[in-house]
Order: sequence, then C-alpha cells, then structure tokens
Amino acid sequence: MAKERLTWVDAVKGFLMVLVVIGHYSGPMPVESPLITYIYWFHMPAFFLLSGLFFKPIADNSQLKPAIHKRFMQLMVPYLFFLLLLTFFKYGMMIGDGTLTSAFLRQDLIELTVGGRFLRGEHGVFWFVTVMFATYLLFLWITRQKRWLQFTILAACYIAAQLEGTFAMGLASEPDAASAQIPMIWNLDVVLIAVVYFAIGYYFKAFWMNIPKAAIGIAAAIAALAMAADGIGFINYH
Amino acid sequence: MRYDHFLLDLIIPIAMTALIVGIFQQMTAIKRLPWFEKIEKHSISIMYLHIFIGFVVKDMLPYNILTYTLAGLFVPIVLSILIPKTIPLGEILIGRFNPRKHMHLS
Repeated sequence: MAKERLTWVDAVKGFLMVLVVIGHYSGPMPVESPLITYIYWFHMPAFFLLSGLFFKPIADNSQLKPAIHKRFMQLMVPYLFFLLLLTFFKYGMMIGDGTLTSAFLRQDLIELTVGGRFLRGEHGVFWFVTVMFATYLLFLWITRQKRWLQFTILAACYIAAQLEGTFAMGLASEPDAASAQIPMIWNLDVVLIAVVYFAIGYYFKAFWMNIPKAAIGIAAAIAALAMAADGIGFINYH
Repeated sequence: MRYDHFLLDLIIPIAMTALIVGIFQQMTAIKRLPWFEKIEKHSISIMYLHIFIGFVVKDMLPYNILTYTLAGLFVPIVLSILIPKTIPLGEILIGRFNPRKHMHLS
C-alpha cells in the first residue's frame, strides 16, 4: 500500500514539474490556447498541498531542532548552491560581454539577498523555496497550538493574504508590478496563503490519499466550469 | 501578489489539484508512470535550472515549446546525475540530505 502511494505521489510531482517548466515558456504556442494560464491557476498551490500531505507534527521539543535542521539542509542548502551557480554563470557571461558594471553588481547583490519577487530572470522560481521553508516553520508552530487556535490562525492568515493581495492590486493593475510595490524579503508574505494550502493537504490527508471517483467528477466539473467562465470573461482569475 | 479572489483562490486550486491527483491515482493503480517518477527524482535541479536553460535554448536552438521543454527537463536531469558523482557532498547540494546517512555532518 505504501509503495502504491509513493508511486502516484512521485508521478503527480513529476507531472507538476513538467507544468512548471512549460509555465515558463515565453514563445509562441503552436495552437492558440490558455494552457499556461490554467497551469498558473493551480500548480504552485498543488506543490504546497502535496507537501502538507506528508507533514509530521512535532510535539516533543527535543525533536524540533533535528526536524528544522533536516528541512534547512533539504531546502536552503540547494537554494544557496543554485543561487551561487547561476550567478557565477551570469557574471561570467557578462564579464565576457563586457557588460558587468559596479552599479549593476551592487543592485544585483541587493536583489539576490532580498530574494523573493525581486529575483527575476533565471532566478524566477527561487521564491518558492524560501516560501516553502518558512511555511514549514510556521505550520510546525501552528500544529503545536490547540486545535481551535490552529484553525483561527489559518483563517487569519488567509484573510490577511486576501487583504494584502487586494491592496497590492489597487497599487498597480498588473500582478508583477503590484507585488513589486510591497517590499518583502524572500516573499515571506506569500507564506500567509501558502500555509493554508499546506494545511489543506495535512488536515484532509485521508481524502487526498484516495480521492473518490465521485470527487474526481465534481473536481472535473468545477474545473470545466471555471475554464468556461474564464473563456467568456465571466471571471478574471489569474 | 495574485491572491485577491476570496473564494476562487480556494475553489479553483483545490478542484484542479484534486482532479490531477485523482486522475494520477486512477492511472497508477493500473500502470506505473516511470517517466514522471524519473522527472520527480531530479525535480530540484529541473526547478532551479530550467529557466536558465531556456535562455540558452533561445540563443542556440530553434525556440519552441518542444525544444524548450525537452532541454529544460533533459539538461538539468543530466546535471542532477553528474553533480553527486563529481562534486564532494553533491547529494546534499541537490537536496538529497538524509540525516541518517549524513549525520556526521551535523
């Protein structure tokens, strides 16, 4: 049984990774289609949800440090390695082109440190890892609270994320420009909504581990309805 | 900062995730999907490197969704195989830290 579970989890994560790659394609599509828009509707929440599925709460204080150390090593060490690797290549190419200036270097080093939404171009996905690590830490703390308080905190996080999103979109009409209006190291404000998806994976583990066929049908109907509503302009979901 | 749809931000991602997960659970119950499992095994490298590889593809190959996607998957997978074999502690650098195996480092 455990083997079967791992099989579908690995396959889903592999499929989502293909969607991440396709989602960053910026050229013309062979056929006009909103495929990339639909990928962005769910692929990052799905990663948080699947991570929450395998979250293990820690009640024993002596287990906290080893658990946090393990997640740090699994998430933040590769983050630093690939950040340095790509920066090394980029600077190497710029030195070759003669385009590396001290002004650029100063600005780039600030952006590399602040991370999150300020990392663009080849570093465009790095925000996900800092958000995932912070989400893990926050949820670790949340699950050490009383049950009623856990849901209260999660509801507060969701409402705060919605308020911030609405506020930001009021500053600029385009989401990327809007987010740039709110300076935040490592995209830590995104944790407010990521932790909700993470929690949905954790609290509804029994459902996610074996989704009933009826639920798949309902999910398909909702997805089709959302796509149709988007197609006719009834909703404007990004 | 795209979270400004109070209901849709829950309904759409959860429904679409349930649809994808449900379909994969049904499919893998009949037959394993080794290609996706292999991609998952190297997902850290793919995640970090595919955009950079895409820039290289733009410069060196005909840029279309097929060349971009194949290169964005294949090149990081090759590097993900090579890094642990060629760099000391390479396994840790690509996210495969195992406390039992690497305990002496902590």
